[in-house]
Amino acid sequence: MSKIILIPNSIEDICNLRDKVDGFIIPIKDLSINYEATFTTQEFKEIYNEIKNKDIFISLNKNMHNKDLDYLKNILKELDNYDIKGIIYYDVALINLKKEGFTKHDLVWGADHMVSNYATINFWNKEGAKYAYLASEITKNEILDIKKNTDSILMMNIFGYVPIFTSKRNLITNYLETFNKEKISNLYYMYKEGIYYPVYENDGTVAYSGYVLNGLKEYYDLDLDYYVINSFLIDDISKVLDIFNKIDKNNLEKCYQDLNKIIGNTSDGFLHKETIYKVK
Amino acid sequence: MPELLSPAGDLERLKYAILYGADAVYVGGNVLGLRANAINFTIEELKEAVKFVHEHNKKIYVTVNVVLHNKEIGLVENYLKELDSIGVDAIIASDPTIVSIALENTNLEVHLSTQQSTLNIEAVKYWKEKGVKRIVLGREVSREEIKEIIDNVDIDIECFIHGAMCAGYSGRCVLSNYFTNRDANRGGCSQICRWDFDLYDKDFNMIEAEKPFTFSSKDLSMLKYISDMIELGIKSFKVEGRMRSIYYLATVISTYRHVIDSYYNGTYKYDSKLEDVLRRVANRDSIPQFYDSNYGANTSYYNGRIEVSNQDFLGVVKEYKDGYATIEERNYFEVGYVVEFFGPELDAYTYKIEEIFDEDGNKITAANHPFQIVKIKIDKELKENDFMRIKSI
Repeated sequence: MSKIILIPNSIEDICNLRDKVDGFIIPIKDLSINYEATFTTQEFKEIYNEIKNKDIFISLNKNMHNKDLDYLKNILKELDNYDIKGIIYYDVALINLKKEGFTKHDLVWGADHMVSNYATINFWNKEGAKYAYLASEITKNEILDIKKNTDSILMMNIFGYVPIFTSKRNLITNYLETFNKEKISNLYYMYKEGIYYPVYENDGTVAYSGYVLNGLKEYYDLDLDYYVINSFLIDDISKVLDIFNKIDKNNLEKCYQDLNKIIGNTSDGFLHKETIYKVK
Repeated sequence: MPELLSPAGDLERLKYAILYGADAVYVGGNVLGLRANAINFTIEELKEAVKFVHEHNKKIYVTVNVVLHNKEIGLVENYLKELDSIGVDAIIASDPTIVSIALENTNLEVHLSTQQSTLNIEAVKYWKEKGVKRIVLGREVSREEIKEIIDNVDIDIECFIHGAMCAGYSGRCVLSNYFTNRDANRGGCSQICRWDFDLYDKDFNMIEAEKPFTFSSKDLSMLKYISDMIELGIKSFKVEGRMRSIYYLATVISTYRHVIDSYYNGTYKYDSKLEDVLRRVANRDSIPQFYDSNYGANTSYYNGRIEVSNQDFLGVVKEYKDGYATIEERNYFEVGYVVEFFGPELDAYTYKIEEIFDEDGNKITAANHPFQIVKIKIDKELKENDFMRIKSI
């Protein structure tokens, strides 16, 4: 049976919503990116007892620079004290550090848009990544094909805004500074042709899809090990989770429609739409 | 001496890149590369390219840097074996499946693409252990980080020195997928980062500013740091731009060739006039950026999508005989123009055009048709493939 894990926006979210989910992705401050909320290890320590019976994934998914490595090693050693399912990584440094004994935990290959084929998932599996966190830009058929051809434990985004651009640059600050405007928050929206794309800046810039991914219709067909719900900018996240908690094979379509109703701006993304790369 | 590595979008550009001083070129094959909409090389063209490059004692690398989807997995092994069999010197790859197939099934040298965004010692150590010969570092590394990597891991390091910059981490941008359904990581990038957007704050109030918001970055130019980069021990200096023109390549490659050679023959001195030469073929302002840890406001580019069409490039010398140069025209020029000739063995020669003749020897006042063949009288002996550019009108 598939499990639902949540990317939370706050400690309050974690405490309030823990009974509605099977687990959480906890991003660690200064070592993760693409999240609105990140947590210090002290904060993690404080909430760990509240969620230790859940499936906990720690996200250390930023592109690591040399200056991050000592801190990263310390965090990895510290995380050895906790019962967690896996550590989500983007940077290959994590694989090397696991080989060098800096963590006992399983790794989750979470290289965003690159987790797009079974051969490379199997490559990282042999290197120590037992899990793969699939790209959101592949189709349902590709996911099924991956599932058929790998032993890795699979997770995918099923609901929420999807990060589509990550930069080391503070692009909002750069713009506002250039034109002498004041930065009033970390959240802005860029607008094109009727669509608002959230842009979040906090030591780097992340742009998100202009819609909320709703892949619920494929819940049973894909039948993956983990489905990820991103609570970023979702005001009614509790209601969303309530819907996920009541789905069964008979009411899937209704639940899918209910989600669309309470959110409004949804899409099934690339699940049924193949990208092209050669323009004829 | 570090390698000067040039892009080449087709055979013509490859030949000019080599003639103008590149030590190696990188090209895309017609599958599994990240410039799917460039012309790219067929296997037959690659054979010719390999022959030409090796005859000049230079090297050729083929980009196989696509991020694979399932249906492409089966293409990889045969393609890599084919590249191996025709004598390609290395592949530039990013997907670990391609890397491992190359290492296990061919004799090809593997260079890890910047698409992997390799930025730290641990990641470099990992790829070295796997058998990768060279790492193209992510563009976000600073000088100090490059030095730390070179000091700590014995592996060839390649860095970009010139050309356009991605606004995001390579591989971590799929704007193109979401805006145009074109897959950025499989060669379909439609450069959404260069688009203009309206910007709104969190309460949906529009930010009114002189120019619209964009992710766009200025271009990269490392001219003033070349001696420093040589001393750091960087093995390969890479120029970006497989879709750039022969004029662009000739200008950029010959400029960096001159600077690198002058470092080794003891005549090196930073010459800001060379920045002007590079600026003449640039689409945008060009600056060093992350190398000196600068990625602040002055590295962003807010001039919209108005990119200047370059009219500097006037023609190519096809022949020089009896005091007359035969020129193939590329942009309008006329009697009275002050022009500059430059070439593989010619730094810059200034000349005022006094007479122009058509192919039949008739005197004309201007060359005004693209690829028109004309002759001009000039005492300076020029060589085939020298270029003529505008100096002043």
